[in-house]
Amino acid sequence: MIYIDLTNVSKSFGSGTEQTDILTDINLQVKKGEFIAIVGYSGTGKTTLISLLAGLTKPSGGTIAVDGASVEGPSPQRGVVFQNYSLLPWFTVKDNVALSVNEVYGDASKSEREQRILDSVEQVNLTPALSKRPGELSGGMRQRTSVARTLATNPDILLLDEPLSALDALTRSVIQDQILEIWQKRNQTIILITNDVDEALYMADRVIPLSVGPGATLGPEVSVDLPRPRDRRALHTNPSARKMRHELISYLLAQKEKERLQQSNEPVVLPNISPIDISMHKPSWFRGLRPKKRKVLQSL
Amino acid sequence: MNSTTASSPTTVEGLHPAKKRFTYNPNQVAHTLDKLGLGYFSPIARLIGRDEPSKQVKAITQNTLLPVLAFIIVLLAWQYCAGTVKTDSQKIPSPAETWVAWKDMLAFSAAEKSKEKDYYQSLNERVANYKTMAFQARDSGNLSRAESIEKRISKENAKVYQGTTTFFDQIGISILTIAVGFLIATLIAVPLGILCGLSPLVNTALNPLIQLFKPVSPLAWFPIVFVFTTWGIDQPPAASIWQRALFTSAGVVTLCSLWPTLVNTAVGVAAIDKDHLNVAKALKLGWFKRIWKIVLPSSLPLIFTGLRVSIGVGWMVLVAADMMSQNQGLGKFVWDMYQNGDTASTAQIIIAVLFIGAIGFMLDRIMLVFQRLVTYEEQSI
Repeated sequence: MIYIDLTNVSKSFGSGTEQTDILTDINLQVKKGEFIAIVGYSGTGKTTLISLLAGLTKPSGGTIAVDGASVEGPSPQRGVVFQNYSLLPWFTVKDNVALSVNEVYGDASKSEREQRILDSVEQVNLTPALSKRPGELSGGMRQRTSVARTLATNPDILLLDEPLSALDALTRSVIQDQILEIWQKRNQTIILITNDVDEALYMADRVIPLSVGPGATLGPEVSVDLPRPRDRRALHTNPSARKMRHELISYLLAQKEKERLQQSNEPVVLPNISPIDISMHKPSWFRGLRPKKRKVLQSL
Repeated sequence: MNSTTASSPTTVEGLHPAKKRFTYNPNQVAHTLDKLGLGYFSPIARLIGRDEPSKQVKAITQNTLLPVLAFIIVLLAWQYCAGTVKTDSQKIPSPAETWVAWKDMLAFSAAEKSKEKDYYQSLNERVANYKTMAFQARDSGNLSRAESIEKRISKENAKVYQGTTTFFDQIGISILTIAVGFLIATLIAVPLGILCGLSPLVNTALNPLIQLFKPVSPLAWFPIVFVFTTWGIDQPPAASIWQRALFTSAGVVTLCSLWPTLVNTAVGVAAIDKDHLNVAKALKLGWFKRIWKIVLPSSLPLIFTGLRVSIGVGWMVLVAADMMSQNQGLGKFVWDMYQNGDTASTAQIIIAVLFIGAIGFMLDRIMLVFQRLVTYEEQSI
């Protein structure tokens, strides 16, 4: 049973000669309850892919369908955790979470909504920081708030856009486990975008690399058939895990090499500029003493 | 110095019973003062808390000595001008003469107040007399006489003291005028600015008009506003403070001071973080909620920056507007004194100038405090 279905999806920005292809020929089928990780270099269109899935932007070609219905716009059913947290700095943790709860559960009673807010904040262990503003929180706490805000509406699909890339390694592993725990409890479908192969292997059922742009597309997928709960240490010793990592990293490195070769074929055009004459910054009476230089200046 | 801002020390829950002990936290008090725009006093607050005393003493002497020095230089220059700048009929008054003029103004205002008090006292006595007379007349059955006395009572009651408006009344009128003008300007500029920031179409439509009207002098607006207020506002009785001239002045203030707020609001709304808008989109927030919860809070700092500039412009414009509309404000005071044309009047104008400056400064500080209150800590990764 295919739940999320991307067929020949492409996305480009601009038009005419200025058109830049970001994504081409994206084909991806995800089953309900699956945990998919997409790994790739930064700047290859990972965030664009999430925006497409979330419905924040429309594909230039191809179709995206969730549960048989075409995606026409954003929906609370598909919760997004943004790369840069995107918390509203003028709201407290509670109000940030309340924003989404009130929007999605507007019909529910006040106490019910309140309970939902408190529950989802508790789920990411942020209850002590309920009344703090994002400016007073550490990076990890902000990211957990962002996760809580998305979880509070109980979405069927979680779209995680590099949620942990700005965090230190220790905080990262804590939140990874929290996300896994929530996923197993609620049986959601998760698409995780990341640039960390180990993170992808630790968390996902399937890992799919993204090639480098322009016109990035999905590479050969790797099915992670390791039993859960997984052990971080075992990932480094388990032969099949090592093989998977090797496969993924080889692919990504080959992509990088390809990009380098592409670039080196093109001659590097240096910008046609002349150095700024610092006498320009001297007072005008001083400049007047050097009439030859003034002509150069005017041509700048 | 300020016990309300002192905080109790943080205690670890469960380890110590929470002790409510107020300690003076010089750092916190100093920060509060800085936030209120009273940074001048923060070294004093730190000194009281024994926070690097020698550094604070140095800061205090520097903060005090230098302005005092500059003030003395200005006083000397003033004194010099007073001795040299002379016309046939008047001269620049010296600081001493200005001081005398200030004393006179205080005395005049006090005398005026006591006159007003006497007037109402004697009026009340007369009314009381009439009342007993009317009562007696009614008692003795002379109804027509009682009625005529009662008529006189109501006539007396309607009387209002027709004294001269004092300098301090005029300050009050000026502040009232700017409050009205500034309020109207805000009510127009903020919604319009939000529209401009949200919609490039509205912005394209309004931008030429904004650019065209922004640099217009208040003196040029005045005749146009005058026509509008004369047409739209009935002249109230002389005793009312809501004179037509007040609204004319307020209208000129509005027209001159709404532009900074309008432009800043538009910029603030247009510069809203794209991530925040994405959140609104992903949550499918409605139009009103999007404005109220996302757009407005994120642009508030810039809106208040605009309001602060606006109130400054408005106060500057007000004096000129009052002169032309003959609104009983500080501008009228300056105009009347100018018409007198003697040295003592010029001295009073100098006093008025100092007051205009001080009130403008106060208005600016008030807006600064608001501005700092709404400025949230920027989210940083």
